[in-house]
Amino acid sequence: MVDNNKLKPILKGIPTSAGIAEGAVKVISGIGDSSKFNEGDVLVTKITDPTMVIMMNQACAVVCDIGGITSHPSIISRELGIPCVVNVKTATSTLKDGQKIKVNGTTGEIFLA
Amino acid sequence: MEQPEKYSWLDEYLESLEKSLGFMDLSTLQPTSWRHFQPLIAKEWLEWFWRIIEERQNQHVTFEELAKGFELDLCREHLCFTLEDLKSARWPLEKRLASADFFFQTLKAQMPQDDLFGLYGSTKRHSQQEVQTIANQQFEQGTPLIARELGKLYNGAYNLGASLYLDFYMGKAVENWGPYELSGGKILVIKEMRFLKPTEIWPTIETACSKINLCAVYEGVKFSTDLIACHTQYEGDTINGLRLWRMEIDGRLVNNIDEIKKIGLNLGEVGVKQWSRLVSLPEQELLEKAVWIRCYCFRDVCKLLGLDWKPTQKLLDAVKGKTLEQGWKTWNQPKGEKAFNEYWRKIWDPREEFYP
Repeated sequence: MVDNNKLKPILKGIPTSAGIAEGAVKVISGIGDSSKFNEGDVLVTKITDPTMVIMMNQACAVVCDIGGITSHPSIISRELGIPCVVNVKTATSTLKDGQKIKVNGTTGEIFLA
Repeated sequence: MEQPEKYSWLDEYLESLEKSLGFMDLSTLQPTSWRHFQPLIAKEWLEWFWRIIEERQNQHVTFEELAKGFELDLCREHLCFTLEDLKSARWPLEKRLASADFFFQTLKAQMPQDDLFGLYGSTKRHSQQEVQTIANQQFEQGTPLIARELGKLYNGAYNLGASLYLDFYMGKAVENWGPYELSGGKILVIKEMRFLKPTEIWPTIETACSKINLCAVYEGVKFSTDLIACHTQYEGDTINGLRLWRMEIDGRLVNNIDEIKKIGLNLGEVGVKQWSRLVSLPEQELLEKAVWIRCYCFRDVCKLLGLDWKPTQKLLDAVKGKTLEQGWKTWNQPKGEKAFNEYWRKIWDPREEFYP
C-alpha cells in the first residue's frame, strides 16, 4: 500500500545544498531552543544566525522560511555537506516539533517521512 | 577629462556585483545591513577615506605595496560600498572615478590570475607557481570524518567573523581562494580565517587563535565563489571527495583531529557569545561600533601610510542621534526585479549622474 502523503511534497523552496536526509523537525527561534535540539534533527527556522551554529553542526538538514543561495544557512550547510532548502515561506508555521520529514536539498522538496 | 575606456572595467565589475548582490534579500543580514548604516556617514566616511588616496599619491606608494595591507575580498566589497556612498554623498565625477580606480588598481595588484571580479566563479590570489609550491607541501589524507570537522571549524570561524565584523564587513575575517586546478582533475581550495581576535575593536574577545589557513584538495568536486569570496558553492560530494588537507593555526601545522575539534568548538562558542553581544547593543552603540569596524577594515593600509586608522570624532559624531531607519530611507528602490537592478546599476556606476 503506497502512502500518497509521502509521495507528494508538503512544502517546496529553493534548494541550496544538495543531498537527501530524514529526521525529526525542531522549530528553532534562537539559542534558547538549543536544549531541545538533538543530533540528527532537522533544523527549521525563519533564517539561521550565528547562535545556531552548534545546532547546525548536529543537524541532518536545514529548512528556512527566507533566504537565498548565498544566505547564511546555505553557506553553512554546504560546508557541512548536509541538505538545505530556503525560502520555503511557511516552514516554521507548517512544520511541528517531532514531525518526521525528508528534505531533498537537490530539488527543494520536503516530504513527510 | 580622462579617457572613458580607462574605466571600461567597471562594466564587468557591475555585472559581477549584480550577479552576487543583485536582488538579495537584505533582511537576511542581521542585525542590520550596510544600506541602513552607511548612508548615515557617507559624507564623513568619504572624507576619512580620501586621506588614504591622497597620502598614497603624496608618498608615491605603489599599489603593489598597498595591496599587502588590504584583503582581496574586502577590496572587491569596499569598492561596492564606496560606490554607494559616493552617490548618497553626491560626490563629483572626478572624485568618484578616482575612488573607484583606487580599489581597481589595488585589486589588480592582488590578483596574478584572471577573473578579477569573480564574474566567472573564481577568486585566485595565488599565481600558478605559488599554487605549485603550496601543493608540494606536507598534506594529510582526507576522510569523511575530518571533512566534517573541517567544515565545522570553518563554520565556527565564519560565524565568528559575522559576529565580529557584521555580515557585510566579514571579508576581514574569512576569505576563500580558488579553485586552483591540480593534476588528475583535482582542485585546491584555500580558506583563510584571520583577525579572529581583534581586541582593538572588541577588547574582551577570547578566541583561542587569531589566524587559520586551511588548504583542501578535492576530487570530483566543483567549487566556485562570486564577487564575495565567502559566497562559496560546491557541486559534488565534499565529504567523500576530500582527498588531502593541510591546516596551519597561528603559523603552526595542526593535524590532530582532537585539537581541530577543540578549536572548532571554541570558535563556535565564542561566536555565539559574540553574536549575542552584538545583537544586544543599543542602536546608538551598534552604529558607533559599525564605524569602528569599518575603519578597522582599513587598519593595515592606514598603518602602511602612517595614518591613524581609528575613527575621527567627526566620523563618530556623524551617527549621533541618527537611526538605521533613516539610513534605509536614503534609497528609493523600485519593487520589480528589472527596475530594481537598473536602479542599483545606476547608483553603483560612478560614471552616471544618478543619485538616490
